[in-house]
Amino acid sequence: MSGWLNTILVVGSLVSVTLAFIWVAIKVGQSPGPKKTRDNQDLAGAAEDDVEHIFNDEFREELRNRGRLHFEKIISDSAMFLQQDLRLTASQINEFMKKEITSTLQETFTKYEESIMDAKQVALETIKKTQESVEEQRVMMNEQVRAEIEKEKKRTVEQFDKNLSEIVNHYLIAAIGNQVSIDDQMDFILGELENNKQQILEDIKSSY
Amino acid sequence: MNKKEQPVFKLSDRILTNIDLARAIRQTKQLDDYFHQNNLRGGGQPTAISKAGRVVEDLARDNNLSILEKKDRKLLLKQLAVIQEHAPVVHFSFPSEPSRGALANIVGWLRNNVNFYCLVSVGLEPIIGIGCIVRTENKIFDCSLKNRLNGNKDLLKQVIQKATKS
Repeated sequence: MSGWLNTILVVGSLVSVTLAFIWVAIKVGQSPGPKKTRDNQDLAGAAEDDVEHIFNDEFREELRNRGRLHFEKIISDSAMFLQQDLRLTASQINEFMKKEITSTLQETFTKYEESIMDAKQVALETIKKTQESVEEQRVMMNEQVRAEIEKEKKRTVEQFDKNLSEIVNHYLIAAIGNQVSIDDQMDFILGELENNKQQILEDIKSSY
Repeated sequence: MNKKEQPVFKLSDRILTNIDLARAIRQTKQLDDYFHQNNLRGGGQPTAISKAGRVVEDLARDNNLSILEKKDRKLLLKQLAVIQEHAPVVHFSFPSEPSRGALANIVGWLRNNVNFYCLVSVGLEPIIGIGCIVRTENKIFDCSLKNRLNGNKDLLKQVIQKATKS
């Protein structure tokens, strides 16, 4: 910024100097009248001679060189200032880009993280619901299994109850069946016959 | 049946089954034939001696009969024939083959309590286990241990419950 100002000042000063010379030249070139014109012409001629004397070729060349050098200096200063400005601008742009990219990335990562958290929350809720459902199923199955076991137990007990005498009889036969002869059973057999005596008697009487 | 009553014709305790009775009849007939043949042959000729079985001897002794007398033999045969035709036969199924003594006990009980001329027939049913099954003309009597246990099921349950609780 300051470089630009310097450039503008320098250019402005050159232009003003040039305009001054042009004005002087124009003033010197204006003639006031015939005598004055002649005097003026003499003065003009003298001035012109002086100007020619002062602003000779070497002087003009010197001015040109000085002007050229000054211009080059100004140009190089301007270029340097421009370079500095460009570097500054580039670094500012870099910083800005970094900042923008960082903020964008952070924003994106934040949104991504939020999405992840939301998904995680949804997954947790789903898992929780699934667990609850599984637990309910487990409880229900437990109840069913318990009921089935009770039913089976009851059925087994009923079967056992129904066949109790058969079981005991079978056990006795298996355990001691071949060691108990009919003679050993005689008391039992006669006792049973005694219990059924009346019916046996009636049946035989009715038949014979 | 009144225990004081006595049979007109006493059946031997050795005659338990129809087979025994048939054997006694056969032996009596053989004896009768022997004596009849002897009479036809006349005296002085050697003959093979026919020995009466113990059953026939018991029958004759218990009923005051003489096997030497023809009319007694005829009477014996007639009585045995009547018994064979009319005697009640009670079928017993046992889990194993009963001894002669056991069978005699049973027949003795039947003759004392049911009919003087009861005979028994024996069958085998190992599945009975303990006891027997009695079959009369129209009925079946389960005298097995299984039936007795069935009848006392509540008692058996109580005993088992007591044993399991203790």
